[in-house]
Amino acid sequence: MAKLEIKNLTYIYSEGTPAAKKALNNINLRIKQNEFIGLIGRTGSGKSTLAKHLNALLKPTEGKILLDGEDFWHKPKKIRNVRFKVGMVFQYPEHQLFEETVYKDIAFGPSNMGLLEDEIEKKIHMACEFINLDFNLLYKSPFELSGGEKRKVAIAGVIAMDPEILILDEPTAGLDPKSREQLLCQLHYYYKSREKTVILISHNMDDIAKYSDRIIVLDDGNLIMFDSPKRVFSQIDLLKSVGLEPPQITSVMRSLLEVVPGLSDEILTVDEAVEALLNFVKNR
Amino acid sequence: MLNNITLGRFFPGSSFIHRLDPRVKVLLMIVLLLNIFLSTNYLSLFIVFFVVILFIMLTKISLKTYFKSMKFILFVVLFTGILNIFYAKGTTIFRLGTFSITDEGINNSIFVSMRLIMLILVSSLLTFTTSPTNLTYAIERLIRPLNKFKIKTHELAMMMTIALRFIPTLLEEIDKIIDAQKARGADMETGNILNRIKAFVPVLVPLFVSSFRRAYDLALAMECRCYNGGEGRTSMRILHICRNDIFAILVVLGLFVLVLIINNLFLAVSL
Repeated sequence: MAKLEIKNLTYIYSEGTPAAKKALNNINLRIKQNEFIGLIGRTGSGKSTLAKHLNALLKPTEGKILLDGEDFWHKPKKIRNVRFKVGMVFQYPEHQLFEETVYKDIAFGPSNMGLLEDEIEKKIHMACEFINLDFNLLYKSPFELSGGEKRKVAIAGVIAMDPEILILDEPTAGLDPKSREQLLCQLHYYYKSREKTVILISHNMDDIAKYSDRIIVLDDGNLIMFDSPKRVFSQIDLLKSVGLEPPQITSVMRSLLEVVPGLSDEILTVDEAVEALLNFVKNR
Repeated sequence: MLNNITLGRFFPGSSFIHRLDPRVKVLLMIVLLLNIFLSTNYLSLFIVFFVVILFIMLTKISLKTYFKSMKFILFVVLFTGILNIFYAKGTTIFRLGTFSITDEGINNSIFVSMRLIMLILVSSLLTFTTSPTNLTYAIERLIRPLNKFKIKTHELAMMMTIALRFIPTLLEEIDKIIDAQKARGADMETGNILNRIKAFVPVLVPLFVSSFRRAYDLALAMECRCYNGGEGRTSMRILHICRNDIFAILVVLGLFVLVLIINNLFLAVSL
C-alpha cells in the first residue's frame, strides 16, 4: 500500500477573485514507505504549494490526499495529527526560532504533540544526534548561534517530532559546502536507518540525482515526470523545455561520449563517473 | 490569510482621481473631512455624502472594494451607532425599563454612523488611488514648512515610506512564520483567548527578530548608496498642478462654502 497517495489534486490560489491562479493541476502520485523522493521544477512551478498540501497547511481545491489510506481532511479538527506524522522544514527554517534556549525550541514540536518531559528529552537527544548538533549548544540562546548551527537547530526541531514523512524545502540553501554535504548525508541516513520517507525539494540537480530513489518533476502546476533519476535525467530535451538541466557530471559525460565512444550515458554522480572512467582507462 | 485586507491598499489606475496631484489630493481629503464634521444638518450631510460617492465613482474602482475595506470597521460603526441611540437627552419616543430612545438619540446615531462611514470612504479614496511613494512624497512637500522649526521633515517622510513599504513584506513574513509553527504542531485556531494570545508568541518573536535584521540590512543598503538624509536631495518626479487639479480644488472648496451657507440658514431658521 502506498504510504502517501495524492489523487486528482488541484489547487487554485485566491479562488473567486480576479487574481485566481491555478497552482496545481490534477496531480496524481503514490509515494511508498521508506522512499527518498526528489522534487524539482523551476521557480513558481508549484513545488512549495505541493509540499504545503502534504503537510495539510493548504486544503486542496479539488482532490484528496491519503496518508496510510486515510483522507487528510476527513476530520478537519484532527488535522494536527497529520502534521505530527508529516514533518515539514521550510526554506530558511532558522527564521522561525523563538525560544530562550535551543533545548526549548527543539522541544516546541514534541510538546505540542503532548509528550511527557522525559520522552521529550529523549527525542531531543535523538534529533541532536541525527543532525550532529553539539549537546553543549542546547542551553544557549538560538540567536547566539552561527547560521549553520541555527539551521541545524531548526531542522532538529522537526526531526524531534519523529515524523514518518519528512519534507524539506531547499534545506541546503545558503549553507557552506561542508555543512551541505553533512546535512544531506544525515538526511539520507535518517531515511535509510529509520525506514522513513524523505521528500527533498532542491534546485541542485547533483544532490537530487545522488540521493533520490524517485524524482517528481513539476512545471506550471503540472506533473511532468515521476520516475527514477536515470530515466528522468535521460530525457534532456524534456527537462530543458521545463527550465531544468541534468546534473553537471551527466552533461560532462555525455560530451565525453561524443569523443570517446563506449562510455555509459547514464552517469548521474561524480562517483559513478570516476568508476566509469577508471574502468575505461583500465580496459584500454 | 491576511491577503484580503483592502483597507489602505493602492489600486493602480488612470482615472481622473488617480491622476490628480498627490499634494492636492491630501489637502482635498483634509477639507472633505472638515466638511463631514461641519455638516450639522441632514441636508449638508447628504450633499457631502453625494459628492464623496461622486468622487468614488470617478476612481473607477468598484463600490464593492470600498465596502470591503469597511468590513472591519463596520462593527465599530454599529457599536457607536447603537450606543448613541440610548445616550442622549430629548423627547422620549420609546421606553424599555431604564433605557429610553429619544429623537435626539436617533439623530445622533445617524450622524455618527454616517460620519464614520464617510470618514473611511474618504480616507480609502486617498489611499486606493495614490501610490505609497506619491503619498509620502506629497506629505513630505506639505510638511516642509516645518523645517523652519528644526523638524527633520525629510526623515519623517522617509520613515513613513519605509513603514508603508514594509507592510506587505511583514504580512507575507507573518504568513510564513505561522505556517512554519503550524507545521511544528502549533495550535492557533482553537482554545480560549488567553491560549490564542500565547500561541502567538512563537510568531511574534521571529517576526521581531526578522524585522530588526531587515532594518539593519536596509540601513546598510541605504548607506552603500550614499544616502545621507534630505539635505540637497532632489527628486526624480517633479509635481505640477494642472487644470484637473484646479477643477477638483474648486469643487471641494465650493462644497465647503455651500456647507457653511446651509449651516447658517438652518441656524437662522432654528433661531
